[in-house]
Order: sequence, then C-alpha cells, then structure tokens
Amino acid sequence: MRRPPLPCALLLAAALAAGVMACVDATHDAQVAALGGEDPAVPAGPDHRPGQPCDVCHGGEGPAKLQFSVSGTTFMYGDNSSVPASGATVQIEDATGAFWHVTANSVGNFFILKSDWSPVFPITCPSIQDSQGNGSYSMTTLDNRAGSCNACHTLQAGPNSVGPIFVHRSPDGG
Amino acid sequence: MNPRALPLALATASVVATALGVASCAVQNTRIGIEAPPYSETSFKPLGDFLVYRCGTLDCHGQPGRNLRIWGANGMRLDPEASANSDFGGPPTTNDEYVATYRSLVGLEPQVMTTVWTGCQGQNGPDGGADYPPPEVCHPELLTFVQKARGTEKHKGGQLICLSPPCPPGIPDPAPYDLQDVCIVSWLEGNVNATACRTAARSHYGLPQDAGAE
Repeated sequence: MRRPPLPCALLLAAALAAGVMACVDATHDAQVAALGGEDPAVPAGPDHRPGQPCDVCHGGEGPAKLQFSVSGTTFMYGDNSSVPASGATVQIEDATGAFWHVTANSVGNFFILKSDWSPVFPITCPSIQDSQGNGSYSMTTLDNRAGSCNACHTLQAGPNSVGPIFVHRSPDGG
Repeated sequence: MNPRALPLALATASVVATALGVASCAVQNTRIGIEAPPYSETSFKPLGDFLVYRCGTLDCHGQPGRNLRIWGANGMRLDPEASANSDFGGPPTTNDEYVATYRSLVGLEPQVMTTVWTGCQGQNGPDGGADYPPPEVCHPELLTFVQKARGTEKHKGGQLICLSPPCPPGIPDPAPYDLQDVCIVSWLEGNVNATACRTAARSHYGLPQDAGAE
C-alpha cells in the first residue's frame, strides 16, 4: 500500500489532536486539581471535603458520578467554622415556589441529588435550623445558578464571599 | 527589464512605502466618548440596586471575571474588608460601587450604548414618566445586556425578563409589563422609574421585603 503523502499525514494528525483537545475542559480540570487530594483519614463519600464547592466534581462534568443539584456545608456558628451543624435542616426554595428540605450530615455536608430534585433557578434558602429546630437566619439574596452553595460561601469572607453558611451567629446567641 | 525603468520602480516603491508608513502612523489611540444616561447617584441607584439583586449575585455578575461586573451589598464589594467586617454582605452599597457598576454597564458596548441613548433619551410619556413601551425611535434591544436578560441572546443565566406570555418556569407573566424591563428601559430613556425598579427587585421570587435596596 502506498504511504500517504506527508502533508496528508500531518493534516490527519492535526485533526486527531484537535479532536482530542476538544474533549478536554482545561478550566474544569484546573478547578478539580485546585481542590487538592482527599484527606487520607476521610474516605471519599458523604463526609469528605466539607467546605469545598461540591459541584466542581458533582456538577455533571465529573470526575464524581453522583450529580447534585444543590449542595454545601453548614456550620453551627458564623464566627467559628470548625463546628459542623450536624443534623441541621436546610430549606431550599426555587423560582416556582417549590420547597425542598435537606438534612446536614455529621460534618455539616448536605446535598440534593439531581435525580431527586432539579430546582428552577434562581433559588434561595428561606430557613436553616439546627437539629433542635432553632435558627432564625435566612438567605437574603438569590442564587441565580450555582447549585454549589460553597462556591460563594467560602470559609473565609471577603469581597467575593459572605463567608460560610451558619445557623447561629455565635454560641452565646444570635 | 529596461534599465531606465529601474529608478522609476524604486522611486515608486519608495513613495508607496512612505505612504504606508504615514498611514500606519495616522492611527492614534484617541479617547472615545460614550453617550449614555448621565450618572448621578439619584438616577442610577434604583437601577443599580435592582441589578445587584437580580444579576449581581456572587455566582453571576458579582465576579471580577465577568464583562458586566456589578458591585454592591449582598454581592461583590469594592472594599476588600467590607464583607469580612460585618454580616450579610456588609454595609449598604456605596457611591463608589454604584459608579463602578455604571462604568461597567455603559462601557460594555460604547457605540451601541451611544446609539441607544441617542434614540431613547427624553422619551417621556403623557404623565411625565418614562415612556413604556418605548417609542419606535428607542431601541434598547440593541444592547447585549438587554438581549441576554430578555432571552433573545444566549445567556448562561437564562431568560430573566418575559415581555409576553408564555413565560418560562419561574418567570412571572407580565402584568401588563415586566417591571424589570420597565426599570431598565426607563433608565435608558433618562428618567428612571424607581418604583418599577424597587418593585421588580422585591416582588420577584419572594425576596424578603427588608432585604436590600435602601
């Protein structure tokens, strides 16, 4: 068989390379990499990576298989993000007025599977209560499209974050 | 080649090269002007408050990487300490933040903004308020940010304004108009409808009545 002329081979290689590159989302890969590795003491699962933006991996682009529609981490006190609000109930309301309640686990993580509920954005959080049913704060803004609450509620407040999600302002009240 | 033609060809080439050089130097980085609704805190605050609520959340245009950037309370802050120092997004939106949002908005498409402002300014209705729907000479739909909000151009945040039913899920039917659109168009006419802006921000999506704008 005759070997293809060199320019044709080059074109073919370039097309293949372009095809491969088109399947790679470098931005997403960088976001995943920025999260770092797993904590060796915590196996991958519902308790892992509290405080991190869950939807980077659970938003449909992988590498996680489970897809979340809404997810985050809630802490007991706004002035101390080391105490998880285990058992807290987070209420989510979507743009159609539909509600969903989700309970935070032992590390404060909560998530709603996309297969269970896909809210119509924008969503908001009208209520968050601890395991005793106490709590008076609500979200005062909309979440227009980020299902990952921790994307905006980072552990450190700053010009681009209001800080972590909390149930009470401080242990001594609020 | 005729030996006599060589000097002529060289001279011609020299003239052409010089002309090209002069032409390339003629391009100057002159400052362009933007004709837009003039800024004042009074005229822009109603729109700015509406924008920060509806569009300026931290997951959308409250991010420094956006072309349209919106600053304000409950969103992205200019002061690096603003959010860290107090609860719920910090103190009320500052004048510097309104100005920053204004500059971002009018600077997105300077020429289109100039065209739209030229056609829309001063279009008041019989009651002295901004005319809505706008008259034929006013074309807010030329602006990309209006197109995106209305859903006539692809928008990652989806359609936010509905001018006529059926509206997408979560977007209220206009009654008779979408007050979000009234707010934006009235600002483009130079006579912002503060009531429409305030009502649009607070009545949609069950926002808390005490949240925000004032």
